[in-house]
Amino acid sequence: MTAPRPDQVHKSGRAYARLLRLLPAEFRAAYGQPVLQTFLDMCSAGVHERGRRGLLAVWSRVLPDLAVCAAREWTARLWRRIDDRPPVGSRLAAAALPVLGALLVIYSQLRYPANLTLPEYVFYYLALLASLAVLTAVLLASRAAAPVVVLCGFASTPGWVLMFHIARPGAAALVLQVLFLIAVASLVEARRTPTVAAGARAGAVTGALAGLSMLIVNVTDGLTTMASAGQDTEYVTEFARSGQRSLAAYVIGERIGGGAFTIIYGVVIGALIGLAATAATALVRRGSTLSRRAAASGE
Amino acid sequence: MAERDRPPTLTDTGFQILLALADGDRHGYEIMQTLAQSGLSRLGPATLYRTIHTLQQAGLIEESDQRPAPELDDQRRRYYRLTRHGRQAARAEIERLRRLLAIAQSTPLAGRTRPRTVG
Repeated sequence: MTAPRPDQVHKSGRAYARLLRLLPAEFRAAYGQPVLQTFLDMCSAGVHERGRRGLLAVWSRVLPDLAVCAAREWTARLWRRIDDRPPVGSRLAAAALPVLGALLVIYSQLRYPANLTLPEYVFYYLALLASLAVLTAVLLASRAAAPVVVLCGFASTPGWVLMFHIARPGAAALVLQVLFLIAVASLVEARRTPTVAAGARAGAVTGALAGLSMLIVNVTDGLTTMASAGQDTEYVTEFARSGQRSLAAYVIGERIGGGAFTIIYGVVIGALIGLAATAATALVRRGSTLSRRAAASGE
Repeated sequence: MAERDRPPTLTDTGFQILLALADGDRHGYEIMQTLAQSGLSRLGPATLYRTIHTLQQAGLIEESDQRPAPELDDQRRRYYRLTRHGRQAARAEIERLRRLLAIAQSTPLAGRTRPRTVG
Protein backbone atom coordinates (compact mmCIF):
# COMPACT_ATOMS: atom_id res chain seq x y z
CA MET A 1 0.00 0.00 0.00
CA THR A 2 1.55 3.31 -1.09
CA ALA A 3 1.07 6.21 1.33
CA PRO A 4 -0.28 9.28 -0.53
CA ARG A 5 1.60 12.54 -0.13
CA PRO A 6 -0.20 15.28 1.88
CA ASP A 7 -0.55 17.39 -1.28
CA GLN A 8 -2.76 14.63 -2.74
CA VAL A 9 -5.26 15.30 0.04
CA HIS A 10 -5.07 19.01 -0.79
CA LYS A 11 -5.54 18.27 -4.48
CA SER A 12 -8.58 16.15 -3.61
CA GLY A 13 -9.89 19.06 -1.55
CA ARG A 14 -9.46 21.47 -4.46
CA ALA A 15 -11.16 19.04 -6.86
CA TYR A 16 -14.06 18.50 -4.46
CA ALA A 17 -14.42 22.27 -3.92
CA ARG A 18 -14.80 22.65 -7.69
CA LEU A 19 -17.39 19.87 -7.79
CA LEU A 20 -19.40 21.63 -5.09
CA ARG A 21 -20.40 24.12 -7.82
CA LEU A 22 -22.95 21.49 -8.83
CA LEU A 23 -24.96 22.54 -5.78
CA PRO A 24 -27.23 25.61 -5.91
CA ALA A 25 -25.41 28.84 -4.98
CA GLU A 26 -27.56 29.48 -1.88
CA PHE A 27 -26.85 26.04 -0.45
CA ARG A 28 -23.15 26.40 -1.29
CA ALA A 29 -22.96 29.79 0.43
CA ALA A 30 -24.60 28.40 3.58
CA TYR A 31 -22.90 24.98 3.80
CA GLY A 32 -20.09 24.83 1.23
CA GLN A 33 -17.32 25.39 3.78
CA PRO A 34 -18.43 22.77 6.36
CA VAL A 35 -19.16 20.25 3.58
CA LEU A 36 -15.62 20.74 2.26
CA GLN A 37 -14.18 20.54 5.77
CA THR A 38 -16.02 17.28 6.43
CA PHE A 39 -14.68 15.91 3.14
CA LEU A 40 -11.11 16.85 4.17
CA ASP A 41 -11.66 15.16 7.55
CA MET A 42 -12.80 12.02 5.72
CA CYS A 43 -9.75 12.16 3.42
CA SER A 44 -7.34 12.55 6.33
CA ALA A 45 -8.94 9.66 8.22
CA GLY A 46 -9.05 7.50 5.06
CA VAL A 47 -5.40 8.18 4.27
CA HIS A 48 -4.38 7.57 7.87
CA GLU A 49 -6.11 4.18 7.93
CA ARG A 50 -5.60 2.82 4.41
CA GLY A 51 -3.32 5.17 2.49
CA ARG A 52 -4.16 5.72 -1.19
CA ARG A 53 -6.95 3.13 -1.10
CA GLY A 54 -8.54 5.07 1.73
CA LEU A 55 -8.56 8.16 -0.45
CA LEU A 56 -10.15 6.21 -3.32
CA ALA A 57 -12.77 4.83 -0.92
CA VAL A 58 -13.66 8.36 0.16
CA TRP A 59 -14.05 9.47 -3.46
CA SER A 60 -16.21 6.47 -4.31
CA ARG A 61 -18.48 7.48 -1.42
CA VAL A 62 -18.69 11.24 -1.93
CA LEU A 63 -19.22 11.33 -5.71
CA PRO A 64 -22.62 9.56 -5.74
CA ASP A 65 -23.53 11.46 -2.57
CA LEU A 66 -22.81 14.81 -4.23
CA ALA A 67 -24.66 13.85 -7.43
CA VAL A 68 -27.77 12.72 -5.52
CA CYS A 69 -27.69 15.72 -3.21
CA ALA A 70 -27.31 18.18 -6.12
CA ALA A 71 -30.22 16.55 -7.98
CA ARG A 72 -32.41 16.68 -4.86
CA GLU A 73 -31.49 20.29 -4.03
CA TRP A 74 -32.20 21.53 -7.56
CA THR A 75 -35.47 19.59 -7.72
CA ALA A 76 -36.53 20.95 -4.31
CA ARG A 77 -35.73 24.50 -5.43
CA LEU A 78 -37.71 24.03 -8.63
CA TRP A 79 -40.74 22.76 -6.68
CA ARG A 80 -40.42 25.61 -4.20
CA ARG A 81 -40.49 28.09 -7.07
CA ILE A 82 -43.53 26.45 -8.61
CA ASP A 83 -45.28 26.31 -5.22
CA ASP A 84 -44.66 30.03 -4.70
CA ARG A 85 -46.51 30.82 -7.89
CA PRO A 86 -50.31 30.92 -8.05
CA PRO A 87 -52.20 28.05 -9.67
CA VAL A 88 -51.75 27.73 -13.44
CA GLY A 89 -55.51 28.14 -14.00
CA SER A 90 -55.74 31.56 -12.37
CA ARG A 91 -52.62 32.80 -14.20
CA LEU A 92 -54.00 31.58 -17.52
CA ALA A 93 -57.37 33.22 -16.80
CA ALA A 94 -55.70 36.54 -15.96
CA ALA A 95 -53.44 36.36 -19.02
CA ALA A 96 -56.42 35.55 -21.26
CA LEU A 97 -57.82 39.07 -20.74
CA PRO A 98 -55.01 40.95 -22.54
CA VAL A 99 -54.98 38.27 -25.24
CA LEU A 100 -58.71 38.77 -25.69
CA GLY A 101 -58.14 42.54 -25.85
CA ALA A 102 -55.51 42.08 -28.57
CA LEU A 103 -57.81 39.82 -30.61
CA LEU A 104 -60.63 42.37 -30.31
CA VAL A 105 -58.34 45.13 -31.57
CA ILE A 106 -57.27 43.06 -34.56
CA TYR A 107 -60.91 42.20 -35.26
CA SER A 108 -61.90 45.86 -35.00
CA GLN A 109 -59.30 46.88 -37.57
CA LEU A 110 -60.45 44.19 -39.97
CA ARG A 111 -64.02 45.46 -39.63
CA TYR A 112 -63.16 49.14 -39.59
CA PRO A 113 -60.02 49.49 -41.71
CA ALA A 114 -60.35 53.26 -42.24
CA ASN A 115 -57.76 54.06 -39.53
CA LEU A 116 -55.14 51.72 -40.95
CA THR A 117 -54.29 54.24 -43.67
CA LEU A 118 -53.22 56.73 -40.98
CA PRO A 119 -49.62 56.14 -39.74
CA GLU A 120 -50.26 57.51 -36.22
CA TYR A 121 -53.18 55.11 -35.74
CA VAL A 122 -51.08 52.16 -36.90
CA PHE A 123 -48.40 53.23 -34.41
CA TYR A 124 -50.97 53.42 -31.59
CA TYR A 125 -52.35 49.99 -32.41
CA LEU A 126 -48.87 48.46 -32.48
CA ALA A 127 -48.11 50.11 -29.11
CA LEU A 128 -51.34 48.68 -27.73
CA LEU A 129 -50.54 45.17 -28.97
CA ALA A 130 -47.03 45.41 -27.47
CA SER A 131 -48.45 46.61 -24.11
CA LEU A 132 -50.95 43.76 -24.07
CA ALA A 133 -48.20 41.25 -24.93
CA VAL A 134 -46.09 42.53 -22.00
CA LEU A 135 -49.12 42.40 -19.70
CA THR A 136 -49.85 38.82 -20.78
CA ALA A 137 -46.25 37.77 -20.10
CA VAL A 138 -46.32 39.44 -16.65
CA LEU A 139 -49.59 37.75 -15.69
CA LEU A 140 -48.39 34.35 -16.93
CA ALA A 141 -45.15 34.56 -14.99
CA SER A 142 -46.40 35.98 -11.71
CA ARG A 143 -49.40 36.09 -9.45
CA ALA A 144 -52.79 36.71 -10.99
CA ALA A 145 -54.63 39.99 -10.51
CA ALA A 146 -55.79 40.51 -6.92
CA PRO A 147 -59.53 40.98 -6.22
CA VAL A 148 -59.01 44.67 -5.32
CA VAL A 149 -57.40 45.27 -8.72
CA VAL A 150 -60.29 43.66 -10.60
CA LEU A 151 -62.82 45.52 -8.43
CA CYS A 152 -61.17 48.94 -8.95
CA GLY A 153 -60.70 48.29 -12.68
CA PHE A 154 -64.37 47.57 -13.31
CA ALA A 155 -65.55 50.19 -10.78
CA SER A 156 -64.93 52.77 -13.50
CA THR A 157 -67.84 51.35 -15.52
CA PRO A 158 -70.59 53.63 -14.03
CA GLY A 159 -68.49 56.66 -14.97
CA TRP A 160 -68.21 55.52 -18.59
CA VAL A 161 -71.96 54.75 -18.74
CA LEU A 162 -72.70 58.17 -17.32
CA MET A 163 -70.49 59.77 -19.94
CA PHE A 164 -72.17 57.98 -22.87
CA HIS A 165 -75.80 57.78 -21.86
CA ILE A 166 -76.86 60.20 -19.22
CA ALA A 167 -75.17 63.41 -18.24
CA ARG A 168 -71.94 63.39 -20.26
CA PRO A 169 -69.93 64.90 -17.38
CA GLY A 170 -66.65 66.62 -18.03
CA ALA A 171 -63.91 64.29 -19.27
CA ALA A 172 -61.60 65.63 -16.54
CA ALA A 173 -63.90 64.33 -13.77
CA LEU A 174 -63.99 60.92 -15.40
CA VAL A 175 -60.22 60.79 -15.81
CA LEU A 176 -59.80 61.78 -12.14
CA GLN A 177 -62.14 58.98 -11.10
CA VAL A 178 -60.11 56.39 -13.07
CA LEU A 179 -56.80 57.72 -11.72
CA PHE A 180 -58.20 57.54 -8.17
CA LEU A 181 -59.26 53.91 -8.64
CA ILE A 182 -55.85 52.98 -10.08
CA ALA A 183 -54.11 54.68 -7.15
CA VAL A 184 -56.30 52.82 -4.60
CA ALA A 185 -55.57 49.42 -6.19
CA SER A 186 -51.83 50.18 -6.51
CA LEU A 187 -51.55 51.37 -2.89
CA VAL A 188 -53.34 48.31 -1.53
CA GLU A 189 -51.13 45.95 -3.55
CA ALA A 190 -47.92 47.89 -2.78
CA ARG A 191 -48.69 47.66 0.94
CA ARG A 192 -49.41 43.95 0.68
CA THR A 193 -46.36 43.08 -1.47
CA PRO A 194 -43.49 45.55 -1.03
CA THR A 195 -41.85 45.12 -4.44
CA VAL A 196 -41.69 47.62 -7.31
CA ALA A 197 -43.19 45.05 -9.65
CA ALA A 198 -46.26 44.50 -7.45
CA GLY A 199 -47.35 48.17 -7.44
CA ALA A 200 -46.60 48.70 -11.15
CA ARG A 201 -48.37 45.48 -12.10
CA ALA A 202 -51.44 46.35 -10.03
CA GLY A 203 -51.58 49.83 -11.60
CA ALA A 204 -51.16 48.53 -15.15
CA VAL A 205 -53.79 45.81 -14.73
CA THR A 206 -56.29 48.20 -13.10
CA GLY A 207 -55.70 50.68 -15.95
CA ALA A 208 -56.16 47.94 -18.54
CA LEU A 209 -59.40 46.77 -16.91
CA ALA A 210 -60.69 50.35 -16.74
CA GLY A 211 -59.89 50.63 -20.46
CA LEU A 212 -61.69 47.35 -21.09
CA SER A 213 -64.74 48.71 -19.22
CA MET A 214 -64.71 51.76 -21.47
CA LEU A 215 -64.41 49.53 -24.54
CA ILE A 216 -67.44 47.45 -23.52
CA VAL A 217 -69.51 50.56 -22.77
CA ASN A 218 -68.38 52.14 -26.05
CA VAL A 219 -69.41 49.09 -28.10
CA THR A 220 -72.76 48.88 -26.29
CA ASP A 221 -73.34 52.55 -26.98
CA GLY A 222 -72.43 52.04 -30.63
CA LEU A 223 -74.95 49.21 -31.00
CA THR A 224 -77.76 51.04 -29.20
CA THR A 225 -77.29 54.17 -31.31
CA MET A 226 -76.78 52.31 -34.59
CA ALA A 227 -80.18 53.38 -35.95
CA SER A 228 -79.23 57.05 -35.70
CA ALA A 229 -75.79 56.32 -37.21
CA GLY A 230 -77.57 54.73 -40.18
CA GLN A 231 -79.27 58.06 -40.83
CA ASP A 232 -76.02 60.00 -40.72
CA THR A 233 -75.10 60.56 -44.38
CA GLU A 234 -71.42 61.05 -43.77
CA TYR A 235 -71.20 57.89 -41.66
CA VAL A 236 -73.12 55.82 -44.21
CA THR A 237 -70.84 57.06 -47.03
CA GLU A 238 -67.79 56.08 -44.99
CA PHE A 239 -69.35 52.66 -44.35
CA ALA A 240 -70.05 52.16 -48.08
CA ARG A 241 -66.45 53.10 -48.95
CA SER A 242 -65.03 50.57 -46.46
CA GLY A 243 -66.44 47.65 -48.48
CA GLN A 244 -67.94 46.07 -45.34
CA ARG A 245 -71.29 44.32 -45.63
CA SER A 246 -72.62 44.52 -42.08
CA LEU A 247 -73.23 47.93 -40.50
CA ALA A 248 -73.27 46.33 -37.00
CA ALA A 249 -69.82 44.78 -37.53
CA TYR A 250 -68.58 48.11 -38.88
CA VAL A 251 -69.87 49.98 -35.81
CA ILE A 252 -68.45 47.37 -33.42
CA GLY A 253 -65.08 47.60 -35.17
CA GLU A 254 -65.03 51.36 -34.91
CA ARG A 255 -66.05 51.39 -31.24
CA ILE A 256 -63.53 48.72 -30.25
CA GLY A 257 -60.82 50.78 -31.94
CA GLY A 258 -61.84 53.78 -29.82
CA GLY A 259 -61.85 51.75 -26.62
CA ALA A 260 -58.45 50.27 -27.46
CA PHE A 261 -56.77 53.63 -26.97
CA THR A 262 -58.20 53.82 -23.46
CA ILE A 263 -56.57 50.49 -22.69
CA ILE A 264 -53.18 51.78 -23.93
CA TYR A 265 -53.43 54.87 -21.74
CA GLY A 266 -54.71 52.74 -18.86
CA VAL A 267 -51.73 50.35 -18.99
CA VAL A 268 -49.09 53.08 -19.30
CA ILE A 269 -50.56 55.57 -16.82
CA GLY A 270 -51.52 52.73 -14.47
CA ALA A 271 -47.94 51.41 -14.38
CA LEU A 272 -46.63 54.92 -13.61
CA ILE A 273 -49.16 55.43 -10.81
CA GLY A 274 -48.27 51.95 -9.49
CA LEU A 275 -44.58 52.91 -9.34
CA ALA A 276 -45.45 56.13 -7.51
CA ALA A 277 -47.65 54.19 -5.06
CA THR A 278 -44.80 51.75 -4.37
CA ALA A 279 -42.40 54.62 -3.72
CA ALA A 280 -44.91 56.35 -1.42
CA THR A 281 -45.55 53.12 0.51
CA ALA A 282 -41.81 52.51 0.89
CA LEU A 283 -41.32 56.06 2.22
CA VAL A 284 -44.15 55.68 4.75
CA ARG A 285 -42.78 52.29 5.83
CA ARG A 286 -39.28 53.74 6.22
CA GLY A 287 -40.63 56.71 8.19
CA SER A 288 -42.51 54.51 10.64
CA THR A 289 -39.44 52.26 11.09
CA LEU A 290 -37.27 55.30 11.86
CA SER A 291 -39.79 56.71 14.34
CA ARG A 292 -40.08 53.29 16.08
CA ARG A 293 -36.28 53.17 16.36
CA ALA A 294 -36.18 56.73 17.69
CA ALA A 295 -38.86 55.88 20.27
CA ALA A 296 -36.96 52.72 21.28
CA SER A 297 -33.66 54.58 21.70
CA GLY A 298 -35.47 57.32 23.69
CA GLU A 299 -36.67 54.72 26.17
CA MET B 1 -47.95 5.52 15.91
CA ALA B 2 -49.07 6.04 12.35
CA GLU B 3 -46.65 7.65 9.92
CA ARG B 4 -48.71 10.86 10.21
CA ASP B 5 -47.74 11.17 13.90
CA ARG B 6 -44.20 11.90 12.80
CA PRO B 7 -43.12 15.50 12.04
CA PRO B 8 -43.00 15.75 8.22
CA THR B 9 -39.43 17.07 8.34
CA LEU B 10 -38.12 14.17 10.39
CA THR B 11 -36.83 11.58 7.96
CA ASP B 12 -34.98 8.43 8.99
CA THR B 13 -31.67 10.19 8.38
CA GLY B 14 -32.84 13.26 10.30
CA PHE B 15 -33.89 11.11 13.25
CA GLN B 16 -30.49 9.41 13.25
CA ILE B 17 -28.76 12.80 13.38
CA LEU B 18 -30.93 13.74 16.37
CA LEU B 19 -29.81 10.51 18.05
CA ALA B 20 -26.17 11.32 17.28
CA LEU B 21 -26.59 14.67 19.03
CA ALA B 22 -28.41 13.18 22.04
CA ASP B 23 -25.35 13.19 24.31
CA GLY B 24 -23.73 16.45 23.31
CA ASP B 25 -22.70 18.95 20.65
CA ARG B 26 -20.94 17.53 17.61
CA HIS B 27 -19.58 18.80 14.32
CA GLY B 28 -20.45 17.30 10.96
CA TYR B 29 -17.67 14.75 10.72
CA GLU B 30 -18.29 13.60 14.31
CA ILE B 31 -21.97 13.08 13.49
CA MET B 32 -20.96 10.94 10.49
CA GLN B 33 -18.56 8.91 12.60
CA THR B 34 -21.13 8.38 15.36
CA LEU B 35 -23.70 7.12 12.87
CA ALA B 36 -21.19 4.85 11.13
CA GLN B 37 -19.94 3.38 14.42
CA SER B 38 -23.53 2.68 15.52
CA GLY B 39 -24.13 0.80 12.30
CA LEU B 40 -26.64 3.41 11.11
CA SER B 41 -26.54 5.45 7.89
CA ARG B 42 -23.25 6.00 6.10
CA LEU B 43 -23.90 9.54 4.96
CA GLY B 44 -21.84 11.59 2.54
CA PRO B 45 -20.98 15.18 3.50
CA ALA B 46 -23.44 16.79 1.07
CA THR B 47 -26.40 14.70 2.23
CA LEU B 48 -25.37 15.21 5.86
CA TYR B 49 -25.50 19.01 5.55
CA ARG B 50 -28.65 18.91 3.45
CA THR B 51 -30.35 17.02 6.29
CA ILE B 52 -28.80 19.35 8.88
CA HIS B 53 -30.26 22.28 6.92
CA THR B 54 -33.73 20.67 7.00
CA LEU B 55 -33.47 19.99 10.73
CA GLN B 56 -32.31 23.56 11.40
CA GLN B 57 -35.20 24.96 9.38
CA ALA B 58 -37.61 22.83 11.39
CA GLY B 59 -36.06 24.11 14.63
CA LEU B 60 -35.00 20.63 15.72
CA ILE B 61 -31.27 21.43 15.95
CA GLU B 62 -29.24 24.63 16.10
CA GLU B 63 -25.67 25.72 15.67
CA SER B 64 -23.85 25.65 18.98
CA ASP B 65 -21.76 28.58 20.13
CA GLN B 66 -19.87 26.43 22.64
CA ARG B 67 -16.55 25.40 21.13
CA PRO B 68 -13.73 23.19 22.34
CA ALA B 69 -10.50 24.59 23.75
CA PRO B 70 -8.66 26.72 21.17
CA GLU B 71 -5.82 24.19 20.76
CA LEU B 72 -8.40 21.51 19.85
CA ASP B 73 -10.72 23.75 17.86
CA ASP B 74 -10.88 24.30 14.12
CA GLN B 75 -12.76 27.49 13.29
CA ARG B 76 -13.93 26.02 9.98
CA ARG B 77 -16.00 23.41 11.80
CA ARG B 78 -19.57 24.01 12.87
CA TYR B 79 -20.97 22.40 15.97
CA TYR B 80 -24.64 21.49 16.32
CA ARG B 81 -26.89 20.67 19.26
CA LEU B 82 -30.46 19.56 19.85
CA THR B 83 -33.08 22.18 20.61
CA ARG B 84 -35.84 21.55 23.15
CA HIS B 85 -38.22 20.97 20.26
CA GLY B 86 -35.70 18.55 18.70
CA ARG B 87 -35.44 16.60 21.93
CA GLN B 88 -39.27 16.36 22.13
CA ALA B 89 -39.48 15.27 18.48
CA ALA B 90 -36.82 12.57 19.03
CA ARG B 91 -38.64 11.28 22.15
CA ALA B 92 -41.94 11.22 20.27
CA GLU B 93 -40.32 9.29 17.42
CA ILE B 94 -38.79 6.78 19.84
CA GLU B 95 -42.21 6.28 21.42
CA ARG B 96 -43.79 5.83 17.99
CA LEU B 97 -41.20 3.22 17.04
CA ARG B 98 -41.65 1.47 20.40
CA ARG B 99 -45.40 1.15 19.83
CA LEU B 100 -44.83 0.02 16.27
CA LEU B 101 -42.39 -2.62 17.47
CA ALA B 102 -44.89 -3.85 20.09
CA ILE B 103 -47.51 -4.31 17.40
CA ALA B 104 -45.01 -6.00 15.08
CA GLN B 105 -44.00 -8.42 17.81
CA SER B 106 -47.59 -9.40 18.41
CA THR B 107 -48.00 -10.59 14.83
CA PRO B 108 -47.07 -14.02 13.47
CA LEU B 109 -44.46 -12.31 11.34
CA ALA B 110 -42.31 -11.60 14.41
CA GLY B 111 -40.43 -14.90 14.10
CA ARG B 112 -41.98 -16.88 16.95
CA THR B 113 -42.03 -20.12 15.01
CA ARG B 114 -44.04 -23.06 16.22
CA PRO B 115 -42.06 -26.17 17.18
CA ARG B 116 -42.08 -28.63 14.36
CA THR B 117 -43.74 -31.97 14.91
CA VAL B 118 -41.76 -34.84 13.56
CA GLY B 119 -43.20 -38.05 12.24
